[in-house]
Amino acid sequence: MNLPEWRPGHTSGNTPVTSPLTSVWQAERIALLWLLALAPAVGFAIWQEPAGWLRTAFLVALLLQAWQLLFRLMLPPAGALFSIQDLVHALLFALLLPVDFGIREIVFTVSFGSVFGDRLFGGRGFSFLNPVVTGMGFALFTFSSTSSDIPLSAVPIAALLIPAIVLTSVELISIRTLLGILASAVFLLAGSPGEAASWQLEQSSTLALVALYLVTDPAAGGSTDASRFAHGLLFGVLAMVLLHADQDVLAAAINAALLASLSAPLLDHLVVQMLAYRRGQRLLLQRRAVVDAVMAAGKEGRSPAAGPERDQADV
Amino acid sequence: MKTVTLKRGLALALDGAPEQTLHDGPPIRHVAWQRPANTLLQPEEAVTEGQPVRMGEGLFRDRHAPQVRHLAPASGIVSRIERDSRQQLTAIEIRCDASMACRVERFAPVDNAHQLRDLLQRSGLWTHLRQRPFETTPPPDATPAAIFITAMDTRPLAADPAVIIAARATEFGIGVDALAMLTAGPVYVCQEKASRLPDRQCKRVQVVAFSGTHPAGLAGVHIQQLYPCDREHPVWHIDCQDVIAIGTLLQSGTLDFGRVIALAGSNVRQPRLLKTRLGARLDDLLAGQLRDTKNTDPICGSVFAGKHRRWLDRFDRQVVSSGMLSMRSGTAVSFMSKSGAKSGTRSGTRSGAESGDIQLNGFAAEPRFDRISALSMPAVPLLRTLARLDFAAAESMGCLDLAAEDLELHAFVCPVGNDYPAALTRCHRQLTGHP
Repeated sequence: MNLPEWRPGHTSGNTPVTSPLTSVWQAERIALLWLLALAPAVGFAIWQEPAGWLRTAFLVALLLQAWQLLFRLMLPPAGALFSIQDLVHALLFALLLPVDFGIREIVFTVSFGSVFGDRLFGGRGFSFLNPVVTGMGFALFTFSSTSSDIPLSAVPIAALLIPAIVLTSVELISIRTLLGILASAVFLLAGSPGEAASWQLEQSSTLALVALYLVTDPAAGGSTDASRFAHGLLFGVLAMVLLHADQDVLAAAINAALLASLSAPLLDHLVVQMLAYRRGQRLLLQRRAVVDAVMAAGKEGRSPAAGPERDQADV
Repeated sequence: MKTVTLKRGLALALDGAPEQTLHDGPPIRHVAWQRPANTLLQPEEAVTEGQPVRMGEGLFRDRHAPQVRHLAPASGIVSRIERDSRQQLTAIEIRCDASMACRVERFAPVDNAHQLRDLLQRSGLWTHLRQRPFETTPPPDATPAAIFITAMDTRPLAADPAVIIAARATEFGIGVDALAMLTAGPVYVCQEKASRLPDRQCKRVQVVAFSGTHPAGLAGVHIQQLYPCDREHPVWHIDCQDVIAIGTLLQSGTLDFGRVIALAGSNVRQPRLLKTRLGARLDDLLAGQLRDTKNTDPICGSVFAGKHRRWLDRFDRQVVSSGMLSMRSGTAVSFMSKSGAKSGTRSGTRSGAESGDIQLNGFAAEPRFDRISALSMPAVPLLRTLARLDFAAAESMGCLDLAAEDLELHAFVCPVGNDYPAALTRCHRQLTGHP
C-alpha cells in the first residue's frame, strides 16, 4: 500500500490553543506533597538530634541549590531558580547520611548524587537514577572505612505508615512496588523469624525509609504494572541477600536500591517486549481471519468486498 | 452484543453541560470549506472570489485524487479564499444566499461496492472517512481491514450521539449497511452501554458497547481493543453523523450538510444541542448565545485540546465557551484565566509543536498515567518512546492505532506539561518517511 504523503494541513485562522483546563498535578505541587510526606520522618529526626540534623540538612540544601544555580548558568534554561524537588532530596540525604560524616564527605556525597544522578542528564525525569541513591551509593563505596554507617536519626516504622497511605492513594508512588517489597520481606523473613526480631530500631527504620522514599521513586523504578512489582520484589530480595552477606543495613538498603534501579529499565523492556509480541500475534490472527474470509467467499463464487478491482461485489 | 468495560479513565464534571435535546440553530450566513488535515491535496481550477456557487457544486479539482470531489456546503457568493504562507489553499468561505437554488443532482442508488465508493467520492463524503495509521483521508483506491463507526462521545460537555441517532435511525441503519460493502472485514458500531442500537442484518456489522469514562469513546481506544491496525492493514473510522449523511444520500439521493453540535460551557446562556451545518461560521453560530461576549474565546473540539477557529471543522462536534471557567467541587482540575493558561508551560510547548520543535520537559512516570490511560499498552513506556524519539519501538507498541486526540488526556495530566499529541504527530511524520 502506498502511504499518502503527510503534510500538515493547518487551516488558516485556526490558532492552536492549550486547553482552558489545567490539571492540578503540576510538578511543583507534586514535590510539595513529597515534602509533606517526609514531615513525620523529619519531625522525628529534629526531635532526636535538633542541632546536628538541622545543620546537615541546611548544608545539603545549600549544596543542591548551588549545583542548581551553576547548571542553570551553564546550560540555560535548565529549570527554575529554586525547586522544591531539591528540598525533598536534601531532607532525604539528611535522613540517611551517617552520623560521623564530616563536611568534606557530605560535600562529595551530595555533589556526586546531584551531578551524576540528576543534572548531567538534564534534571529530574531524564535520568533513571534517584540522585539520593546515587550519592549514597558513592559515599558508602568511597568512605566505607571512615563511617560507622549509622544514620543520624531513627524513625519508627509506624510514623511512615500515613505518608505511605497518602502517597499511594494519590498515585504518586505505585502500590505495586510497595507490595513487591512487602512480599519479598514476608517470604524471606518467614524462614528466619528470629532475625527480624533481633533488629534494632535503626535497622528497620533505615530499610523502611529507603523502601518508601527512594525505591518507589517513579523516575527510577519500573513503568508497567508488572515491572513495578518486580522492581519492588528485586529490591527486597537484594536487600536481604546483602544483609546476609554481612553488609550493614544502610549499605545493604542503598546498594539494593541502586541495583534494583539499574535493572528497572531491563524489567520494563522485558514486559514491553512480551506485550509487543502478544500484539504481533494478534495482528497475525487478524490477517489470517481476513484471508480465510476471502478464501471462503471465493469458494462460494462471490467476493465479499470492496476494492476497485472487485467490481461485482455482492451487496 | 459484545461489551467492553474500561476501568481506567478520567471523569471531569464541568459546568455548562448541554441539555441533550435537539434545537434549531441560529441562521448561518457564512459557511466555509476547510482543508482536511494530514492529506495530500493539490487544488486546481478553483473558484474565484465573488463567483456565485450553488450548494453541491465542486469548489476545485484535486490533482492527486480528481475523483474525490470537494463540494460547496451552501449556495451563495464566494466571499473569501484563504491561503497559507506556502500559497496552499486552506479555506473557501461562501456568503450564503437563500434565494439561490441548490445544484440539484440526484445521486443514483448503488448496487455494489464499486458504485458506493464512486458515490462517496463524487459526493465529497469520502473526506469524512479517516484512515489509521496516520489519521489521513483514505486514498481513493484503499480498502480497509475494518471500519469503526463511533456512535458515542465521552469527552466532557459532549453531545450524546444516541439522541442524534434516535432522531434519524433509518438513515443511520442504511449508512451502516452501506459501509459494510467497503470492507471484507468487520464493521464495528461502537456505542455506550446504556444506548442500544438495533442489531444489523449483515453479520460483519457488530454492535459493541463500551462502558467507562473518557477516553472510552475515542476511536483509538476502540481500534486498540477490537482490531489493531498496521501499515498493510489500515482501518477506517467515521463519526455517526457522517454515517447518517451517507444514509441520507443513499435513501433520498440528496446531500445532507446538516450537523448537530453541542454548544456548551459556563458562558453559554442555554447549553444544548444545536442543528447547524458543516463549516458554519462561529460568529453566526454563537450570535446571541453567550453571556459574556467580550472576555471569551470559544474553542472548537475537545476541552482538552480544542482550537480557536473561525468556522466549524468537518470533525468538530462541540463548541465550548467558558470565559473564566468555573469548577465543580470534587474534580481534579483547576481552571486558569485565559491569559494564565497561555503563559503556562503547556501552551509554550504547544506553540513549539506547531513549528516542529517540541520541547519535552523531562519525563514524568507517575502511576497516575496508567489510571487515566485506556490504551492496550502501558502508557508510560509508550510515552517514553515518543519522548525519546524511539519511533520503531513506538510502532511495535501500537502507536499506529492512535491519533493525536488519544493522547490529549496524557498531556493534560502530565505534571511537566509535555505535549504528547505533538510528539505522536512527529513520530507519525517520521514513520511515513516525510519529515
